[in-house]
Amino acid sequence: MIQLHENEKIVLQKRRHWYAIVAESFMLAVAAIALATLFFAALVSPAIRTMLDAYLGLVLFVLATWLLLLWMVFFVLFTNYYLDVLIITNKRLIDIEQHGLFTRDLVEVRLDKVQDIKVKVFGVLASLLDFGDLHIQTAGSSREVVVHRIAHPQQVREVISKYHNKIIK
Amino acid sequence: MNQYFAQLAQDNASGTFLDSAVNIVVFVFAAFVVVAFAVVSVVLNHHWVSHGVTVKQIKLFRKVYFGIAALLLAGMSAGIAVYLIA
Repeated sequence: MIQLHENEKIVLQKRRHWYAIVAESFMLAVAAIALATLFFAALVSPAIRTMLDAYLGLVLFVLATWLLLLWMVFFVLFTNYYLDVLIITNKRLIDIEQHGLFTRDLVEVRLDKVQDIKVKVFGVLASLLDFGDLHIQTAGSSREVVVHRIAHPQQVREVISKYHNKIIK
Repeated sequence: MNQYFAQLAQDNASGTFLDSAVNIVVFVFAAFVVVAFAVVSVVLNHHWVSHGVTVKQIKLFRKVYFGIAALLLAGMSAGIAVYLIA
């Protein structure tokens, strides 16, 4: 995925918190469950069943197609989630962000260019589940790297600070 | 062409026009979904292979993604078959 330099090793690799993918796919789950419930309710209810008997095949086709489309959307979201990753090595940090199917951002910052790290945890869920936004101010051209909803942001901040201090000593 | 419109008029009069129209819509939509599925699958697979996902995880992703998708495609096909037979 990334080419490591000489004497460089990966010290931490972090993805967004699992809550991020759960929150993004919540509406998909609602859409899937709603239609499936309607379908099975129709099968159980004799009155509706009689009405639908002639079109049972069509109903099955619509349900399967709907679920297949939702399944594809879910896997696109999951792949985006899985490919968004913050890699911290002993020399630099690399933030990879996948947007949709065809856009991919990669920001690379040398640890000695890191000026300031801010962790923003907001809300009850974020506090309980330990995730938040990480703002990394740099002296480079990208100025600020922001990683949203990262898992264990304090731990990430500590690791960056530790290796930053090692480099500048 | 005139023959085609004459057939449509006849279908309309006999009440089978709507069924024919639904058949066409079902087939076009099914074809669209299958093509979309093929394109999305190729792109997702490309991402898994090219962006550092380990071989073990790629195998797992493929099993889950294509396993469920195969079930749903079978459901679609069964639905069309039942609809056409009925």
